[in-house]
Amino acid sequence: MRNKKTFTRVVSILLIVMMAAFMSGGCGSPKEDKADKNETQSKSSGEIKYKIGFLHTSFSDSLGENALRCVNKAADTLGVEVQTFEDGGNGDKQLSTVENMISSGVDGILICPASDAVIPKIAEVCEKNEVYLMVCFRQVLTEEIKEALKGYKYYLGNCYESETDTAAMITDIVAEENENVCMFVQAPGMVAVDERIESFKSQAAVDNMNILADYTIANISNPSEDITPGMDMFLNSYPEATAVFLPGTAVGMGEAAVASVKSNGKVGDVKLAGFDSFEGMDGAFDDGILCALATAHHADPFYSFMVLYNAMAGTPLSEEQVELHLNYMVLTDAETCSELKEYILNPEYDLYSSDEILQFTKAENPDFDIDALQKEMDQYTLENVVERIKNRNE
Amino acid sequence: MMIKKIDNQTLKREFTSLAGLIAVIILTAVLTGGASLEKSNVQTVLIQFMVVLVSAAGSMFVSATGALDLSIGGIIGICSVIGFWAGKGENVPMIIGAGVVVGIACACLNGFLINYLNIPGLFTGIVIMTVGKNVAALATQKVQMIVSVKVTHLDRFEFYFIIVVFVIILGYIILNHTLFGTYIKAIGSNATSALYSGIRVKRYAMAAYVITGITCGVAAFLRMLRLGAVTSASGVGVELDVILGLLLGGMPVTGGTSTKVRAPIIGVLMLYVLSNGLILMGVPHDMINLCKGVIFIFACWISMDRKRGETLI
Repeated sequence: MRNKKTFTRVVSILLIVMMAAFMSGGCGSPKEDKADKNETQSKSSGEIKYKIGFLHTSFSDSLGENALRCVNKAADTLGVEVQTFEDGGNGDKQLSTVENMISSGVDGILICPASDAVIPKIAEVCEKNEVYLMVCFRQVLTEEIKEALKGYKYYLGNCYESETDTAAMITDIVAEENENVCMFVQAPGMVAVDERIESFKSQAAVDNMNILADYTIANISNPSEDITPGMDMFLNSYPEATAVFLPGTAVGMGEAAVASVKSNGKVGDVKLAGFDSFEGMDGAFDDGILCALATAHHADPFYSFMVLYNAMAGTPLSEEQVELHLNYMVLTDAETCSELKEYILNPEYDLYSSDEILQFTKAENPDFDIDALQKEMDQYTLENVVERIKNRNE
Repeated sequence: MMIKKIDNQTLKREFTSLAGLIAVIILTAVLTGGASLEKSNVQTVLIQFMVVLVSAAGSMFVSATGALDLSIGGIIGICSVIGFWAGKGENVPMIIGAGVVVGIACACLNGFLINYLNIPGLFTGIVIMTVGKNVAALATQKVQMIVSVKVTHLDRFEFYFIIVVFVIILGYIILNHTLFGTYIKAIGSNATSALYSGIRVKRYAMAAYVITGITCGVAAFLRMLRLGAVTSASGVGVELDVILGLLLGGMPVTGGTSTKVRAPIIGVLMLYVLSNGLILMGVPHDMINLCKGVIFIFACWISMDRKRGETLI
């Protein structure tokens, strides 16, 4: 009887392991010879030439989902396999995952780092294994780290958004019609979010806006859970507040904030303003709940990917480390939000067509370089992108 | 005859968890075309495993009493910050020393709340976990806590190996060859019987938390060393890896005499070989989480004898 029980348990373990293995959908040798891959630079033919690892906080929210969509389109066009990992903004997990991905044979890593502090170690691991590294969504602010990274040949650079300037712009928009505001602050440590918060605070002082209260989002792994109690506090304890600033609306935060405004019967009385994108944002503009939203930076990983791809292909866009900058699209009304949803966040329309993507590669377009890429990024505005998509579909 | 029967049961327990580990190693090797057995990958997995094993070895003592310690990640976060400050990111003895002292203090607080104020460990664990996360987040808000090269030169396989071997040998001796080890296992088997046998249950249970605190201090240093920095997420999620590792290794949910040092070794190694293997196989991130969730449920099922309320393996 006991032997039978033990046997059952052994079989159970084996079945779990087999199930886990077969869920992967097949097997194969992850290690390939990099030299062989560099020989062919043909157009997309379904052939996988490179493999990259893409690490981001989440791929299941609007920002992550759209970022991955843009990267996948480019990857499919250029014959790159993309392996993703949701790290939840955890530096330890990021390092372990980068190590594991390198073992799986990736040629490049595209990462939104948890903080500046984790970049040197990840860069060191990539350098040791001759794997290219490109940072997206982040600017390296610490001088000591910037210096340390200069020595790494495989660290290609970073792409970032102007958090401070954009937050100031959002604050000005809020200040036009509001005097008393409340704001969410996030458990510190994420540089981009910290910059948004600090900028909102300082610009609010310039605009003579009163910040009546703040509420700290302490739950890093599931921040949306902190939004409802925070909103309830603002709306019930500070009835004079007419606006709430959210440093982020991704991973369910925007949806939770909008739901709170509705459930507290404050539609039309309290406006929301913030960053990122979320489901139902067009409706929130329509209902007069949302007054300003800095969004559409999901294209950042696409441009970062192009830097990474060209380096992997042996035709780097720059011989030096790069620092690219992408503009946010700041929405203030339902009309522009609908346009954004219809053309930019709509999976039916790609940010760039396959032919356009090929023009971002030196192999197809020898004149293309990092300045040309930055120039293209400077033209990343709602009007330009919509016009390009419309022209393409005519 | 009785002795022979017990030996057979011990062998069966050992066989089941060990078989799982071997199966994971073989399957990942086959499905990755041997990539998982390449020297560099083996070294990568072993370092990842060793950093968590130190915490798991300490947590094993609390689990032996039948409790579940959710505070580990939070304590590691606090130890990382205080250790870094004390050693200014470059003085190894100070970093470890301060980390261990803070680890003991936090664990004592946790143990005191549970054992003397009778607050459920689930609540105290969650509170300390949350506090620890926020301490690390606040500390890293303005200052990047980057470890000096004077420290990072220790970031070598050999160093991790020496520390882990030391911790495991010490853990083995304490668990199997001291009265303390016998007492905490007795508490896990039946706290009431242990109390009537004259064992000071609260005091020994509290001491188990102190051991966890010490290992958290050491683990905080190892994590800092590995990442080269203290981040806002230092220690986040470690408790889940530790609990899952202990269960996979055959650690009884109820603690007691079945507690063995091999449980954290086998379980944590299995967990990390599996995590590594799934990435090597190119399994999408959402499927990795699904796999881990399913494995967690199966591990609980396997380690629990539902008739007697305790484990068989």
